[in-house]
Amino acid sequence: MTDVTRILNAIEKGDAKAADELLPLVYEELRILAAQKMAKELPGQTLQATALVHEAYLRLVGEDTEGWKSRGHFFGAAAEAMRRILVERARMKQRIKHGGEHHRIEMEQFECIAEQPSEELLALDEALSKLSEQEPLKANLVKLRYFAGLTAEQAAEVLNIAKATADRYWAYARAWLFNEISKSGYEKNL
Amino acid sequence: MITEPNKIEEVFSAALQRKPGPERTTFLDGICREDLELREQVEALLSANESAGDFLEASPIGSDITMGESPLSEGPGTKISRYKLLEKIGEGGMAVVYMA
Repeated sequence: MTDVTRILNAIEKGDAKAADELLPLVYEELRILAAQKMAKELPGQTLQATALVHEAYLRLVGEDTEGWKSRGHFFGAAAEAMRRILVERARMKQRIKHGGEHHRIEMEQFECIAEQPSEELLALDEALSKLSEQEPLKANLVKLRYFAGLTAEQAAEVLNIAKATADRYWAYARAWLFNEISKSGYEKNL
Repeated sequence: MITEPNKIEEVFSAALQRKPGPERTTFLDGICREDLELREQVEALLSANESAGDFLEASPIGSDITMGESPLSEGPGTKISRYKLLEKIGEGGMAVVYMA
């Protein structure tokens, strides 16, 4: 049994501390995977969030035949880890962009990465944090779908809500976030 | 007075079920009545919903990290076609991993 499987089982049994152990493990795995992929990079090809998260799942948990519900905690952690990785990357790019000469070496690390709207990602992240304070469930739904690449059905199952409810929450959260980001002026690029 | 998010969501969701135009306006007139705050918030969300396009509909990660083993053969094109492409592949990837 892998560490992550053990932790997932502990969370299932209601061990609150186990949940804290999960995120760093998933985060580290995703970071390593992303870095490996980037090292093998060819111009013009892109890595996909869903593929990355699922590869991490297979490596950390292995094959299983259970439903999405039992994997919920994993994908919750993976979505959060993915969000952090992307936000860190976006922040670093922002720093490099405004940093000048002495950041040239750092810049080289990023030359292989396709131009990405880092301002927009940061604006979204900010709006998402706000939504999270008011409506944590809806914010989690957005994280699962957007950052872990789950489909509407999968995300609904992970969150233990009906598909119709998830659809309603999604429409609301999307409009809410778009409205929030529009106020900060990034809506054109998202 | 700050309107409860639940109330806003409820009215927003219900309004989405009505056709834009007079039908929706009549609905909002009836349900919001004198509550201008509620009306304003719901209208803002409805208008955001209209102009959101494919906002959040495609995962952002593909546009961020470049790699060599991806099954994708296309390079990053225009923003819209690139987002469409990534979303599609995502579901394909999911099926490959979990269909068995």
